[in-house]
Amino acid sequence: MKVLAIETSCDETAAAVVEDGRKVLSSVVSSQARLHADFGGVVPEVASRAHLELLGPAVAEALGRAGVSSGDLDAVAATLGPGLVGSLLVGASAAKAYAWSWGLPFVGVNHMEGHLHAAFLEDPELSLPTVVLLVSGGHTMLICMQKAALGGVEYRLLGQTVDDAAGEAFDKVARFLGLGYPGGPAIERAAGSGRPDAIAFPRGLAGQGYNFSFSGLKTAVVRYMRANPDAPIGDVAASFQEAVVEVLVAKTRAAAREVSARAMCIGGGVAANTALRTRVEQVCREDGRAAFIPSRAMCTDNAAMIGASAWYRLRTDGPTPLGTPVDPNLQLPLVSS
Amino acid sequence: MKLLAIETATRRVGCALWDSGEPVAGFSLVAGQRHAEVLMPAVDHLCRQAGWGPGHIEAVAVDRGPGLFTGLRVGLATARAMAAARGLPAVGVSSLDALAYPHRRRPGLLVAVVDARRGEVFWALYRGDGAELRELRPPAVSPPETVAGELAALAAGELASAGPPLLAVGDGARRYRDALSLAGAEVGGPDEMWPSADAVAALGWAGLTEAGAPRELPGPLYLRQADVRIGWEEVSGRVARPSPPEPGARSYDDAGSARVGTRLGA
Ligand SMILES: [Zn+2]
Repeated sequence: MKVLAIETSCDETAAAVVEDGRKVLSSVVSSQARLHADFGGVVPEVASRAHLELLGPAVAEALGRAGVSSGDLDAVAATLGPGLVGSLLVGASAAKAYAWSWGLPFVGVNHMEGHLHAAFLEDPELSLPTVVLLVSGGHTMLICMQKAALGGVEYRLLGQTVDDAAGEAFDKVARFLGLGYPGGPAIERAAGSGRPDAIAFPRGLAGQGYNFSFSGLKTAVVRYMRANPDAPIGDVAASFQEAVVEVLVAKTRAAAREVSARAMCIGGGVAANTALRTRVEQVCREDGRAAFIPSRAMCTDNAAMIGASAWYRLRTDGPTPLGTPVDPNLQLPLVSS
Repeated sequence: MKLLAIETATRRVGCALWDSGEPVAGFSLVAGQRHAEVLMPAVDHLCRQAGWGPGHIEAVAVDRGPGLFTGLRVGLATARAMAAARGLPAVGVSSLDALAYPHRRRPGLLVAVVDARRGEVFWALYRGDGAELRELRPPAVSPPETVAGELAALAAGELASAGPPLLAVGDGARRYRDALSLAGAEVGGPDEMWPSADAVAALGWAGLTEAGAPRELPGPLYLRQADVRIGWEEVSGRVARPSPPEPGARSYDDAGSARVGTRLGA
């Protein structure tokens, strides 16, 4: 079964063709990062305008690269949330129109479930339970993916941020240090020339369960720079990154131990960070646990993960009615224990 | 030629099916901000009732604004996807032209006014000769006082020539009717508040038959720069907790502000 999937929840205009939820036939991502760089963050109206322009070409390219035409497709999927409402509306409206025009079912997908399903795209044999750390500019969640009693997969929320998302902390600190946008790659670049142990920045909520807090860290960086205006930026960036990575990995590791997870997995834009990837691999080796670290392209927002999730949803829930609204705060369907 | 027309530039969502330049079926709903929920089910319903399948549609006409940005993009994303999906010609129609269209045989001055929020209106000025309308002033965005000032000067001249009174139509005209009335305009009723899908179909049909199939997909007529306030709270809205709105921030400003609320329609 081949699904054309569209993802426009934030600032990436993406389209992909995925077969049977596992095989990526094409994955096209038109990044708008350049458009937003001048503003140091995603500007919703700018993102919505760009999605409308970029979507048609992205879909055409995804179909072309996959070598399929509409007659080969079985469904059209799009992200319904969470995300920016104006951005979501462009992708969902277009996907509904493509689906209707081709006489195919439409499938609405939860962006977060897409990130979780990205793991299956590169490791179909992913063993459960797996503890997944989802970290990006919009989300910071620790989730246990486990087998459901009635078959399929279910998600249990172990913890999440109580204030800023991890990627948001990267963006804000990068902007404050004058390193540019997006903040993740900018901090990582600057950190390359600094010492991660140069400055002891606070580890938010360390040792206190599985929730995260990054706003205190951001404030600490600002305060440190005011007191030490001549501090080497490399040291500040490296020490900040170390504080984020250490707390993310420590909590994920503790959670994996508690639920006896067979594997640890990371996803979301921050999962493209080299320090985080290296550290996760290292603790998994130490703990004798499988590490699943998707390629960077599968960590950041893409439509292939939406296609993977759509295949799963179509089998369990059937098509999504064309009147279904987008939902900027769409929640993952979670089980409580 | 079978034509589908889509209208989502204002609070009203509409669609219409036309065949060979004649109306076949129509739908309209003042849906507030639920454009995306209403539009495709309405298109599907109309086509089923008319006995049309997706493969019967040969062209698409869509309102390209000016209007409410979010609604506008729902219609444009839909029309562009339909056109791309089946290789159909698609034509864009101005919301102000669509508002003026029902009055095309009325002689005299006509101003079409769409509420642009934030104390401004999108507007264009036309003159009718009893057979057709000619655009005197292209679409612009202005405070209503500016519109009223220009109209007052024009209306004085029209009165001197004993022509019919200037007519103002659209939700912007209704909202600012006191200022426009003072300027000498007769303000259209509530049935003249919104551009209709039938007007989009008629103008789209005319465009397609006169100018031939357009090469490019229709794009939006925004008339206003994107507001570039950075939306940390919108991005963090993706965290599984609703972010508290900033004091004084409007939750869903369809006029293009960066603020996005906790849910669509909030
Ligand atoms: Zn994401």
